[in-house]
Amino acid sequence: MRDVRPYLVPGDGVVSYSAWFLNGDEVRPLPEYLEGWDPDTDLELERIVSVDLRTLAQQCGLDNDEDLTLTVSWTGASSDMVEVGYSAILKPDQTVRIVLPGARVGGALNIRTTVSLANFRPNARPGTVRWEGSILSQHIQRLVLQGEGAMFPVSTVDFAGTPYGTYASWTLQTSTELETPFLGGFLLLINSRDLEFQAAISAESKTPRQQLLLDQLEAGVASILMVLALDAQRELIDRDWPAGSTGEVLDSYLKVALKQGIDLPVRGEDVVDFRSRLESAVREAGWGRLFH
Amino acid sequence: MSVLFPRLPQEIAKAEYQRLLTGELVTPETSHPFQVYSPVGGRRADSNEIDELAGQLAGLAAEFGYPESAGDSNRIAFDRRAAPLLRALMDIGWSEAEARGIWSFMALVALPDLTRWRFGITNQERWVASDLTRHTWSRLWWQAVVFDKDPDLLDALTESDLNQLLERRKIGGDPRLVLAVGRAVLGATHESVPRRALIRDVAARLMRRLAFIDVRALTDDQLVALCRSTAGISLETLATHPEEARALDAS
Repeated sequence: MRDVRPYLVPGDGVVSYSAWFLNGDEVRPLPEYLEGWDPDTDLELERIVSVDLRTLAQQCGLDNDEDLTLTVSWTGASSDMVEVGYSAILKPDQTVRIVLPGARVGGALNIRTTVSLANFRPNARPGTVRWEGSILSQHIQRLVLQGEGAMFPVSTVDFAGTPYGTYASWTLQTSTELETPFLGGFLLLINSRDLEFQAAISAESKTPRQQLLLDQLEAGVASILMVLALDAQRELIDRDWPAGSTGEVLDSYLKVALKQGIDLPVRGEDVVDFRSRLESAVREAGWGRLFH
Repeated sequence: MSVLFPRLPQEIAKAEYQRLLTGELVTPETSHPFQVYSPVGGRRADSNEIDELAGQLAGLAAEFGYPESAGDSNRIAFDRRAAPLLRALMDIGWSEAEARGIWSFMALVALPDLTRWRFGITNQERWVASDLTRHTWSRLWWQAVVFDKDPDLLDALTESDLNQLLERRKIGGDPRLVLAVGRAVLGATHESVPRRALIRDVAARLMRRLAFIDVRALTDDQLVALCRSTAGISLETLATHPEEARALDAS
């Protein structure tokens, strides 16, 4: 959804944001999910921001020599803590390098690049930007840092004596607080009694049987999220949820479920139909073991 | 290398909290049979460190009346001193400090007696972490982060002030902004305007500005000017509309 602002902003393409690249032994495009992340290591990212300054000034009603600021900051989706990585006067082609400090990032981040007015314009014409810091253009990159290549934080515990079934292989700690960060409320717990399942998760090269166990896990997790989404559908529908929130994640699962015409079973005899539709929806969306 | 503390999964934490509500005697422990750890990010805290942490916090609390019941002012004064101490005792990364399970462990396993002394047992969110700005211990650790560059300001702000600033995460997540707003509010006084009303009005005005302004792009001087001018407008508005100030103060 495009932001609507009470002043003129540049049209599409006037400010151009390259992809973010991850610097290191080799430079590679920054993925949305960065697996194998180590909190003791800082991450250096780089991108180029290009802008046609003359066109921008014309379209926004600014003088050609008006200073604009290029700023990069990031916000932790789970804590909402913000840090600034870069801030400088905007030039036509600018290489931006930032360092994400391992000790102060983790989980999901939103990396925000903005072009904003550098100085107050006391004589701004109506409809043109006036206040310093007013955003003329922005780009937000989502990045999920994962310590062990899993969608969720994962922990292992002996289920005996817990509220979970002693012989269950796993359970998903969930949250129905829709505004809160998804990664803060969800935790995949593995039963330490199921040694085969643990081995399947930790194996670097999976046997076909181990892969099948993981496919079952993936489908099972997706099914739970879809059921939670259906249960919360009245609150989920027609709202914009914060990036990385439980509401945003469940809303995406709800869309899949509704597309398949699934609703939660009301009567006992509905369960059979519900189960087959749920399994179908999960597979069609690409989760779990797929048909070949 | 930073330290990893034990985490209590949410369902386990809720079950422990229910035990607490039923009146079971809860004594401090250094571990829980169902605790888990982050798989990466540092070395695990040992039981001596957790014991030391509990001991130092209990020692500090004793200066404010613990284990006897204490009034609000003493318990809030404890908070202010405990925040930097807790952060010093828990050398953890931000990613670790975002994990709700750590804080549930602190309240329900390592520090149940202190948690009960500070907040009683009726409010679950003080024990089982969900909102980091509301949990007994996570709020203090994060306050120490936010006020790291001006700890005196933390002492000068009331509990209500902190709630207004820190629970609005677009403000509370940005330490530089919190410090600038806090200083601006303390510097704007009028005999007919209660501070609670002033800070509520300032925070609301700033939130509207933040929809269009990237405060991270502002220089320090620009940010101070923005906060001071916002506080000035709020003060003037509330001083000329005392009924509005009273309503804000009471809400």
